[in-house]
Formats: sequence, C-alpha cells, structure tokens
Amino acid sequence: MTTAKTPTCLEVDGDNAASALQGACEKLESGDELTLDFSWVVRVDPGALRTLEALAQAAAERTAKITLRGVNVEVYKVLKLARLASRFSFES
Amino acid sequence: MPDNGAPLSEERIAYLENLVSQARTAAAIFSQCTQADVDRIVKPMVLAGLEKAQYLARLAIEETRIGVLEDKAIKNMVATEFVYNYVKDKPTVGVIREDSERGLIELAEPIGVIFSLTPITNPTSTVLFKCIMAIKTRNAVIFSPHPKAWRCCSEAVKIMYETAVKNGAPEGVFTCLESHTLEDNAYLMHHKDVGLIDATGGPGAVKAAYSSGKPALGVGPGNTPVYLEKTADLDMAVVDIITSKTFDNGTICASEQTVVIDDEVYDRVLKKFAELGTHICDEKETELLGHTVIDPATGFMQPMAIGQKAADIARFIGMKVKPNTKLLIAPIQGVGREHPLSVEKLFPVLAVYRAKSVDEALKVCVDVNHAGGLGHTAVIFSNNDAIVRQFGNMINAGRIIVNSPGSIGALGGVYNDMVPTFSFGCGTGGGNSTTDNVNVYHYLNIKRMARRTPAHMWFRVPNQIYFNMNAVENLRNFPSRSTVIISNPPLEQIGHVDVVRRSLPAQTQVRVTIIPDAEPDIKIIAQGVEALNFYKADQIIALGGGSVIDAAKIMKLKYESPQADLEELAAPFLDIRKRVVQYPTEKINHSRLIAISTTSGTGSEVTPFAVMTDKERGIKVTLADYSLTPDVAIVDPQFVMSMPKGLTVDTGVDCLTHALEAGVSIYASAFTDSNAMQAVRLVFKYLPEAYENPRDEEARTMMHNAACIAAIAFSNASVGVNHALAHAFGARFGVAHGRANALMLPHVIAYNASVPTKFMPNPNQRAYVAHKKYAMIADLLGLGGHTIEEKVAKLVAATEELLDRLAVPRSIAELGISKQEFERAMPDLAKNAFDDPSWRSNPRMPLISELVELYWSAYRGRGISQPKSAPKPEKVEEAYV
Repeated sequence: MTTAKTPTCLEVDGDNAASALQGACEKLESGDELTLDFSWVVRVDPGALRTLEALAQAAAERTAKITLRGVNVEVYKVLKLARLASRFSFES
Repeated sequence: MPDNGAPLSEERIAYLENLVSQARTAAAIFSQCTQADVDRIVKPMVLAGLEKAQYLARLAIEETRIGVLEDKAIKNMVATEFVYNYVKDKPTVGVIREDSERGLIELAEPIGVIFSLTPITNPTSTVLFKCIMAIKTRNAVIFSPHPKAWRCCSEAVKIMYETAVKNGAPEGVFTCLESHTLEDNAYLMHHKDVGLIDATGGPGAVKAAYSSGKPALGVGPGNTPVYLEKTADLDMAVVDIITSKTFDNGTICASEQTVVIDDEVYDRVLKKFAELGTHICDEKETELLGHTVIDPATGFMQPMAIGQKAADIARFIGMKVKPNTKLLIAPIQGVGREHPLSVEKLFPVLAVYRAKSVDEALKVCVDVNHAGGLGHTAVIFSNNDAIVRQFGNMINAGRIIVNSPGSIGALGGVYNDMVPTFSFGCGTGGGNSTTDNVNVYHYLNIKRMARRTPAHMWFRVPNQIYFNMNAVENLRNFPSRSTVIISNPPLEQIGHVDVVRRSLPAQTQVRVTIIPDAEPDIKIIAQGVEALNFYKADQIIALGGGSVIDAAKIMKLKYESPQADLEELAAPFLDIRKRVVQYPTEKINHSRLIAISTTSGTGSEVTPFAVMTDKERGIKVTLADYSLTPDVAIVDPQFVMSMPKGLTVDTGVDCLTHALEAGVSIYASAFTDSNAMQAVRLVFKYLPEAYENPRDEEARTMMHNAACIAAIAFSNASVGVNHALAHAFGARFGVAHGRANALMLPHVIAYNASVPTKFMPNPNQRAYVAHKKYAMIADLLGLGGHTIEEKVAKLVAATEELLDRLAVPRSIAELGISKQEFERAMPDLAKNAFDDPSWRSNPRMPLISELVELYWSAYRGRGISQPKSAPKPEKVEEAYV
C-alpha cells in the first residue's frame, strides 16, 4: 500500500536557480509531486539547464512528477531547444 | 585517417551523442543572448585570433606541409580582422532589418547546432572565420577538421572557445571531434539535432554533406578561368596573377588556373611573367607537368603537389628551373582530358592559352569554366567595359573578379567590396544552394514578419461633372479650335446634336461624325480616328449612350497614341495597379473628351471602361484604364426626356445593379458607399416614376443623376457576380444587359447575404459585411425589419416588387428559353461567367457550382424570401470595420 504524498512547492530564486534545482534534485523521492516556481527566473544558465536535465532524469527514474510554474516564454523556448520541455509539466 | 568502414561502436555513438548534447544545450542557452552579448564576445575572439595568427599559421604549416607561413598568417588575419570589419555592425539578433513603409520586419533565428568540416588547404583561417560567424549568430559548432590538419584546427578551436566562454558564451559552444572516421561524419551529418552542415573541403566532403538530406553549405573545388584582354594594364595583370597564384602556394580554390591571353599581347605578357621570376615551360616541360602533377587516371591534380612551392614541384618531377622560381607557366593548346593542365591546380602551376580573337578567348574561358569551375570564380583583366560585361554574361561563376587577383579578390574586402569569406558558394553549377560569399546571414534562419499592408484605395472621377436640366450650356466654358461631335443617327434626327452644336462657343469649328447606333467595332473606331486627324481636333464631344461614349473614348486613345495596341490593352488583369500591360502615356495629339449621356444607366460618361466589338474574332473587347475616363461629363436630363419605356427600364435596372454591387464590393469604401447608397435610394424612388410618367422632369433628372452617381461608385469599387452572370447570359441568349441583370438581381442579393463558401482573398476584405451592407440599404429605404436577416429579406422583396412594377421578365423561363436549351447552355454559361472579371470584387468568391445554382434560381424566377444560411443577426452599424 502506498500513501499519497503532499505536493511540495519550491520557489526557484532567479539568481541561484542552479543551486535551488540541485537541492530539489537531491531531495526528490519516489512518488513525489514537486512544483518548482519559476516566476522569478528570467534567464537560465548552463548550470541550471544541466540540473534541470538531471532533475528530469531523476523524476523519470523515481516516477516523480515535476511541474514548472510561471515559466516565462524565453525560458520555455530554451527548454524546447534543449529538448527538455516534454519532460516536465507546466502551469501558469 | 582512421577509417576502417566499420559500424560505430556503442562507445563511439555515446561520444558523438555527448558532443551533440553539449552543442544543443549551448545553443539553447545561447538563444537567450542579446546583440550586445554576442558583440561583447566576438571582439575579444577576433583580437585573440589576430594575436595568434602567426602561431596558428606555423602550426598549420608544420602539420600539413602545405602553403606559405607568411601567407597563412595573412589569411588568419583576414579571417579575423576583415571578417570582423564586415560583421561588427551587422545586426544578427532579434530584428535585423525593418522596412516600415512596406510593413516588413526580418528577425534572426539561430540555426542551433552546426556541423562543420574544415579543409587542409586553409585550415586555421577557416576555423577562425567559422567561429566568429557562429558566435555572431548564436550558434554552436561541432568541428570536424581534415585529418591531416587536426592539430592546428583543434588549437584554433580551443583559442576561439576559451576566449568566447571567458566573455560570456555558453560552455560547449564549440567542440572538435578528437579523431574521426567517415562514419563519424555520416552519423553527425544525419543527426536530428544538427541543423546545418557547413562543409568546406574536397568534393567528397561536399557531396556527403549534400547527400545527407540536411540543409548544407557545401563549398568545394573550382577552376578559375582568366581572360587577359589586350586593353588590360598588362603590368598590373601580371603582378596580380603572380601574387594570387603564388599566395599560400596556390591553395585558395579561387586562384587562377588558366590564363587566356589575346594574341596581340601574348608574347609581351609571357615576357613580363618571365622577368618577374616565373618559369615559362617549353612543350616538353608542359607535357611532363601534365602527366606528373595531374593524375592521368582521374584527370585531377595529384595531392602531393597541393600547396607546394614551384621550385620544389619542378625538382620533384625532374624539371630544371631557377631556385627562386615563383610559378611554372605552361602553355596549353586546349581544354579537356587531352590537355591535363586545364583543370584545377592548387599549386603554383598556371596554364596559359593564346587566343586569336575575343570570341575564341571567351570560348576557351567558358570551356575552363565548365571543366570543374562552374559557379566558382572567374577573372578578367580588361579596360574594355563591353568585353568585361560580355565575359560576365558568358561565365557561370559566383565571383567574377575584374582587374584584380582571383584568390585574394574572391575572399572579399581586400581588393573589392565583396563580403569577406572563407567559403565560396558555387550555386547550382557547383551543387550548392548559393553563389554568395558565405557569411553570417547563411548561419541564420531569417524570419520575415509581414504586416498586413492596407491596400491603397482611390476615388477617381472626371474633373468636372455638370448636371441638371440644360447643363449642356456649360459647353460654352470650353474653348476649342476644332471640335468633333460623335453621335448616332437617332440623336441627330431628334435634334440633340444641334442642341450641343448651339451650346458651343461661336468661334468653334464644329464637325459631326455619325456612327451606327451599336457597339463600335474596329472599323468605326478607325474612321473616327481618321476624322479626328483630318480636323486636327482638340475637343471631342461624345453625345449618346454607352456605345457612343465608349467609341469616343477609344477614338481619343488611338488619336492621341496611335501606337496603342487595343488587343494588347484588353489583356486581363487582377489588380489595375499591377496590370501587365500599361496604357500609353506618350501622346502625339492632345484633346479634351466631353461625354454627354443620353441614357440613364451605363454611366459611361464617368467610367474608365470602354467596350468594343471585334467582329473578325466575334468577341467583345473591354478596355479599362483611368486614362479612358472623360475629362468632362454632362448629365443633362433634356437628352433623356424622350427615352423609350423599355430603354428606361433596362438602363434603370443596370444602374440599380451597379449601385448594389458597388455597395457590397470588397473594394467599397466610405467614398464609394456614399454614392452607391444614394444611387440605390434614387432608383427605388424615381425609376417607377420615370417608367410610368416618362415626361416627369424630376423623375428623369433624378434617374439621370442616379446613373451617373452609381457609375462613380462602381468606377472605383467595381461590380460583382451579378454582372458576371448577366454578361454570360446576355451574350448567349441575346438578352439586353439591363434585363439580364434584373433576372439575376434578387438571387444575387440573397446569395451575397449568406455566409460565403469561400471568402475573397483580398486585403480590402477586413471582415465579411455584405449582409450588413444590404441591411443598411434596407434601412436607408425604410423597409423595416429588426434583424439583419429580416432586413436583407425585405430588400430582396422590395427589389422583386420594383422589378414587378417595371414589368420586366422575372424568370429566364418567361423569356421562352426551354429548360433543355438552358441545360445545354449551362456548361458554357458557368464557364464564361467564371471567366468574367466582374466577380473579382464580389464579397463572396463564387464556386462554379454556385454560379450554376444561381442560374437555375434565375431560371425558376421568384420565390426568394430568406437567404440560405444567413449569418446570425448583428448590428447594422458594424458594417463599417
């Protein structure tokens, strides 16, 4: 029997997106439902993008669900170009 | 080259995938950079390249054993400094060009990941060039250098990469294959995340790139012909050719290969070459060169000779030359396999050919051009501009260099203003997609944002319109030495011509030309023009209905511009502003055309149209141009007071059709609507009066005005499908135009008021409003109704009622046309109606099946009350959008 977990929401700091994502990645457990608030992120750097890729990988392995909230269109396009957009859910 | 042809191992695939992944991520990150960001990165890269120019040149020489150190250093400097000079102010991010007048904006979209092959001949300069272009355009590049130039290239990539990343470029923006096989290249060329292949190299690499199915810039070999024409500055030409052909030992593929020299200067030119340290080969030496530096089996140059010094090549093949010999010059007698030196030679061996004439010289150049040089580069030295241009026309080359060195000239920016490059597009002749010097714009997807351009509208009418009773008296205001009145027999008989004659100033010489009361033909036109010429007319007065006024318009056209070809001027067009055939503007005679209408329907006195009959071909010829519009229109009801009832009805219904069609036309504007609506109102009010009481002066006056006002509307907004149907039907069954219009009119209103199957593709149509316009007309007529649907229905009913009151036939069946006969005629009717240009301005684009349906509705006649599938009721006010 599995117990549903309470969805967690984490705000991603625009200036320290990579470290915030790294922290989320490390804590991610099986069955988690994690929402990352990107409202303050205007641009992603290579480190953040790599961590997002690792996060997507970890989520897939642990059947966790990650939702990105408030992603601006510029960042969304970067995720599309990096072929990462299809690996997350999005909400505005 | 480690190429064993084996399939790629999993490890190797993972390695290649990692390269692509890095590049893809870098390109994604890079897409966020602004123009200022990339410009901040490019400049230090250029400076780093300049600083390392000699170092990289030395590496290249040591590794490839090809070329000249000093020249390679210069090439590295051109690839950085000259390229920077070209790109530094070029926008490559976001909006790169804007043409606000045309509503066009061009935006740059990076390609993403570029897979780039670089050559052995120009290794480091090509890398520097491509790195700068990639950063300027926010792309990531995976380099695959020629295996024999890998170390120098990877060092060049490293220098560029470190400088770029230090200044803000994303990590992974440049990578370099550590070693490679053809399978590696093939894998990357076919990778879904590689957006573009930029292959600079030998024919194999270029062919592989183009065969991959990916967008590719494949820049390969050339074979540059040079024409040294006798008017050239010979000293300059000889120095330029030596400079170019010995530059980096001839490794630039744009360098000169065969110089075709005019007979008159051939000996002098060769003497000058010899004086400047070149060796002129004798016949035996030429033969020796031909079967040693060129592979007899393939006909291509031997790799061992590429980029070697002339003296070394000579020594290698056992030919005695002075130690400092710069260039080996080999006279050849023709082009092709039997003349091996006529092909590309990327080393300092130059073929020369003695030409007996310009024609022969050009032919030999064409032969060289076609022997492996199509699309690449050609050179001419001449001061005869006609020959220079002829050379340009005859030779297929992306770069035609005039009076300057081929290799350095083709690079651009040094000897000319061409775009600096290290990749020469060779067009389709070289299997390339471009003939350009490849530059930053080839590293971009250029997006064109096109704003809707509001169509330029117009409202053109004659300069002067005089109307109401006795308006003809205004003729006294128009002085003339020689006036020709054109009219027809009935109007002369009832004294109308005399009325006009009396109204002219006393001193005017007046002649009258009477033409038959029918649509004019070419013979009548010619006779009229003869009269105008004979009397040297400076004023033409057309007194009559549409036929007479149309005849006068065409006579004036031919009188003023005899060269006008009426058949050509009648060519069809879609948009009068873009028509293929233009009306003449040169005139040998000048005259004023005054049109006095004697019917109240066609409005020809104010329209830019004229119809004539071509009896020989049995067709009607319609001319349309605003230059046909009369200069003055006189709308005097005294000339229509005696108009017969039948003609009153026919012309009156024609007038109503003009007004209704102009009102809903896609070219309708507030200017034309004011006329169209007023004309509809006048017709509904006064046509029955004019019909029932022909001597009613007010009714005649108002109908005469209405015809002119409606014509002003349709001259500027055009007509519609009603006219297209009526033209085809009237021509087939010999039915008067007005009556034919009447048969179609209620059905066409209902048709146009319902949701179109197809909308007209025209920028003037900002919304579908025909139903609202009809409702607006219904309101103007006070017909009542609450919804648009009701109002349209009431307009249809009112139109039917009007037609009943005028006693016009209300169905095609009533005309005595049998159903079978009509059915037989239907294919032609539908085809001809569809070919008729009148519907091009209709609010619905008619399908042929709909034209057939409309014809059958007209055949059956009455019974229209509700338009089918009418749009949902909306406010009439929204008709203006």
